[in-house]
Amino acid sequence: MSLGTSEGIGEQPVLQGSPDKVQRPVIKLHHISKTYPNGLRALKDVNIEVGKGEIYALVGQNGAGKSTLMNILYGLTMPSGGTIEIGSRPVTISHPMQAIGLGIGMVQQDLMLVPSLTVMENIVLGTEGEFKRWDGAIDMVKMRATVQTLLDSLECSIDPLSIVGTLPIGSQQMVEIAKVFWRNASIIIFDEPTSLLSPIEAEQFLQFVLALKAKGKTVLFISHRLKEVFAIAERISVLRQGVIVASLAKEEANAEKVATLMVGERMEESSIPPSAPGAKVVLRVKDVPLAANASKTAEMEIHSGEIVGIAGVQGNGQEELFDMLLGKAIPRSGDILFFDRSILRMSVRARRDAGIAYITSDRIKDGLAVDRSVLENGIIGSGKAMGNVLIRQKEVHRLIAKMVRSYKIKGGENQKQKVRALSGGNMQKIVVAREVMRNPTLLVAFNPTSGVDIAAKKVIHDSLREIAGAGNSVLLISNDLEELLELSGRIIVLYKMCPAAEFKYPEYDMRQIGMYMTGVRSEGLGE
Amino acid sequence: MSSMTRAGGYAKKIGLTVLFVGLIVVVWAAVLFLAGANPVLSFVYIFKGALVGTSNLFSTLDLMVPMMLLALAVAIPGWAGVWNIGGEGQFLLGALAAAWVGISIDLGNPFLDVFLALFAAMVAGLVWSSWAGYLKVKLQINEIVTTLMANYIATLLVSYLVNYPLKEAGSSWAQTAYIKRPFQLHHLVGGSQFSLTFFISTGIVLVFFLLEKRTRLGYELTMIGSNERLSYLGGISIAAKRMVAMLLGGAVAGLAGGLVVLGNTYRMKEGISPGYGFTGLLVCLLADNDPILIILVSFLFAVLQSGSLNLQLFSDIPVEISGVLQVVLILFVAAFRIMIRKKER
Amino acid sequence: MNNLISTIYSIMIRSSTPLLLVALGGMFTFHAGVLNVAMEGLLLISAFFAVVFSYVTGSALAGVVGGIVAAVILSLLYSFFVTTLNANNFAIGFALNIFASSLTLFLMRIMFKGQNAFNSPKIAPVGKLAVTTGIPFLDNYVFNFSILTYVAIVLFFMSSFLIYRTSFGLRLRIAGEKPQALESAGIRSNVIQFKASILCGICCGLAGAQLSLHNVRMFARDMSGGRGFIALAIILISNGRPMPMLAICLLFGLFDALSVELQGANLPPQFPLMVPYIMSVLVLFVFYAREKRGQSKRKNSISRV
Repeated sequence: MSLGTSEGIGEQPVLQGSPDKVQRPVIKLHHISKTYPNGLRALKDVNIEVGKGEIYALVGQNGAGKSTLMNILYGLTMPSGGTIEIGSRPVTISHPMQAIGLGIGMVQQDLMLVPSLTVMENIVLGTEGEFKRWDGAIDMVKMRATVQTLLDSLECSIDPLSIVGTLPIGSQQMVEIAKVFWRNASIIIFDEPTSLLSPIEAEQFLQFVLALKAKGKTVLFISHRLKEVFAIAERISVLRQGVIVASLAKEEANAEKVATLMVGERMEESSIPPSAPGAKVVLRVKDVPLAANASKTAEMEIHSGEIVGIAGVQGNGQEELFDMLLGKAIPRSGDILFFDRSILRMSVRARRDAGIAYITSDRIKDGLAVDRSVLENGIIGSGKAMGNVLIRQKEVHRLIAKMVRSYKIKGGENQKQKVRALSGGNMQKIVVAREVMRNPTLLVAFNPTSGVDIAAKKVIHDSLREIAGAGNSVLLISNDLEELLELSGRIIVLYKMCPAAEFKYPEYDMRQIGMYMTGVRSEGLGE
Repeated sequence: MSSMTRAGGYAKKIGLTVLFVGLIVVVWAAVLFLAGANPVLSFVYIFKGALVGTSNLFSTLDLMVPMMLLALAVAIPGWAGVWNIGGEGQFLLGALAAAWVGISIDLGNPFLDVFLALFAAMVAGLVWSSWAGYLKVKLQINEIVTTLMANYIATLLVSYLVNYPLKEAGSSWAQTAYIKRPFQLHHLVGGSQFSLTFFISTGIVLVFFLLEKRTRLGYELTMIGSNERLSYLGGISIAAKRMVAMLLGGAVAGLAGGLVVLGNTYRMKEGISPGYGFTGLLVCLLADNDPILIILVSFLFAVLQSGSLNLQLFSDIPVEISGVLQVVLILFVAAFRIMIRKKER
Repeated sequence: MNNLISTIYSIMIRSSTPLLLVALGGMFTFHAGVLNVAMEGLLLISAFFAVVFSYVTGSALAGVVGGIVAAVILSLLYSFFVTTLNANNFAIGFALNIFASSLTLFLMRIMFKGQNAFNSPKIAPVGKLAVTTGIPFLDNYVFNFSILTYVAIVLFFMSSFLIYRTSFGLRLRIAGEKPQALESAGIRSNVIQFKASILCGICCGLAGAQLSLHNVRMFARDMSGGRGFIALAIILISNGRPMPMLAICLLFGLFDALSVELQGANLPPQFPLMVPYIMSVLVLFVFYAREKRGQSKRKNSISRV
């Protein structure tokens, strides 16, 4: 899990709006902070009060701390400091079971459903003992009837006997929600609930939440889609870099203001202007739908010498775009051209040989072999350069030594050192160095500085600039808006699987960018 | 990491290893005691039987030959994350092939003769591992089941051949005729069957040691075993490399068979292998797929096995105790490794 | 001809029994996500101790119980390393298989001075079901088998019931498919996997007793003969579903019976003996080749790693 922002909290923003002062708060979070063992501060001094029966929205960018905060409330993780009160009683929530006992239920982004089982089996999981018959079997008839009653009360038309794996995502989410009700939750947390839903399903979901309020339930929901937030929320808190920067009642807020608060003001201009794009078109994405439910196809061009940034909240098409450029996924229509040659049928190896390099978003999963050495990780993908039969020892050592020097990879001086002993930032430097030092014509980088300290970040940024400076190109997909603003000559904002807007340096209007990222201003790319 | 903590880390590691070795000795003593023997005396018998006296020592070394190669046969595919449990079958077919060449062909030049026989052994082993490898990379059929089945099939096939068509004329044992003189490798040390085979096998292990560390193939195999996804994204062709690894593993196992025929038994017979394939697997598990460790562990296991023969002579303990001691060692090492790893996290 | 069919039939039933029992045991671990690769060793060790206990006490029941206890102890050891310590599934499984082989051989030599087999009239065999109805068809074809065969049939139904209709079975299947769902409901998947291992041990224990106390009345070196691995293949092919598993076990029993019959014929004995192993590979091949063409989502939980 990467928290896209750099370590340490930056400026101390002035709290806007009226701080929560609710009459009968059912949830009170006092001075909650969370610092991870590696020093990363995810939350600092967060205070939230939620009234009974309120619909409370928590908004923010990736890595702002929203999920961390909700995970603390649901017992998935413990705060480093601060207290929690539920219904005016101080509590410690160290496990989801305790949260459930307090009446808190959470519908996470990753659904915790078992695809091969039926709806009812998924809903009652953990409490099947209630249905035990005399012979030890589960009384399926009774289970079905009870679950049916629950589904009816939720005005849900799903058949308790249908297999979860066969249901559309919207229905699956409904099952997850039903689970929460099964446990008699009175406080329900939703984490990015509409990210998987179609527009119609999302609309239905919003109506559903309003119905919950009518039943007296308290709802907390995390979202970055401000249109939805403003449709139903009564109070909105904005988290930025682990700190609450605003706590507004609906009447005090408008979408533009909130969007700006989410992304913050640019403190200083980029010290180094991005290099000017050349004339050659290196990569062309033609008419490619990023997902089946994309309302528009993606169309973009990358020129030589450019750094093009892809902005957006995670989950809006970045993964899909990267996979298509990598060759892991094939678009169902359209084409991707590299120097006027379609690469759709090319394997990863062929794309690499053609001059495209990749930095994946998860270095542990597929960026590094952590139990192998610095040397071994540094030469992977270099193909013929490392030698055909015998490994060219001298060249390879020299190459890695150069890598370690230029990128100041601490721990890499001993090239035999196992990568897992290095810090996250140094590990990432190996990944970046390895790709950059091969002089790719196009580097596709996905969150290249996730979980990386400031010094390492600078080194990585410099190397990206070098690529552009040499006449090559970089496609930078990132959660980190700061980074995109620093480096890119152009920024394309993705929202709901389509490019929503394009901005050119130096006209980077934070308000506008924020509004496109949150769907407030869903327009097409200007023609 | 400062040098202070590094030194401290080493000291801790050494300390743990010593503690661990001590624990093993205690457990082994316990096993021996339960079997009804005097542990101290037993260790002495084992030691003496394995290492004291030239004929004993060289017999022990000779025992290492099939162990090392069969461990290697598991290790090479193991580098790439594939399990080759078919060593036993590949060994038998290799032995058969070498014996057949040794009986039927004579090129006139002893070097060529031996080379041809060993080459045939490698090809036989390679062929036998190839179909299991193919099924794995093309259809993802679990290679453990296929290589195991292959063992049984090979054992029966060889049994048939040695009992019927290739049986030595006029003999009542299930064996072939002796291989011709040029093929028979001389026993170099009186009282043991130690021969050139020891040097050939050690040489092969060292060759693969170099291959693992210094060649592109070795590099790619280890990367595949470490992170498949990364290797794929790095342009390594996983299916092809895994297939190569399986072929090499089979060839090495076959070679082991050939060496045993040319250097020890001078013929092929039923029961030529007292489970070499599985001992090789145990060695490999303990040696963690590392060629140098394979040599060391093979030595240890050979000592145990060879020494147990002596133990059986002087006490009532059957020679199979060595197998029990070997597995106990493995289980402890496995637990030990896990605990070390947990501490490192 | 009639005789031939009836002989084949009875050998088939006799041979499928241990296979079915092992497969049932393995089925539990398969669904729980800790597929037990050491079943060969469990089978062997239980066959040995079944003989030992039967010999010493003169009671077949004691033999069966002894076999079960031995297998359960070994499977607890397996579970300890794989579930608790998170060691590699295969490595431990193999080590234990070899351990069982060495240990049984070793004990046989110590306890009985046997060389490769141990045989004695003092071994009390597991008898056939002593039921006569007077109806020849029933007497010859339905009630004529080892007690353990009927135990196996009962276990078959009980296992299906347990896995698909009870709360335990539900959690078992989830532990193998999506353990996080269990964790978030507050249930520890470790405990479930442990229980699955014990059930596996019990089933393999019964299988071993059938092998050494009924099919033959002795213990022979490595008498498990790869059945543990054939059962493994069967589980993979049937994806852990009981009905297909039963069918394939019977099929393999049939192969065994055919191979026994063929041995009487003018063929060298090795070829008929090869039949089960070749068939295992062929069946795997056919199944996986079809799967690949169908590209359906297959549960492949042979590895926890």
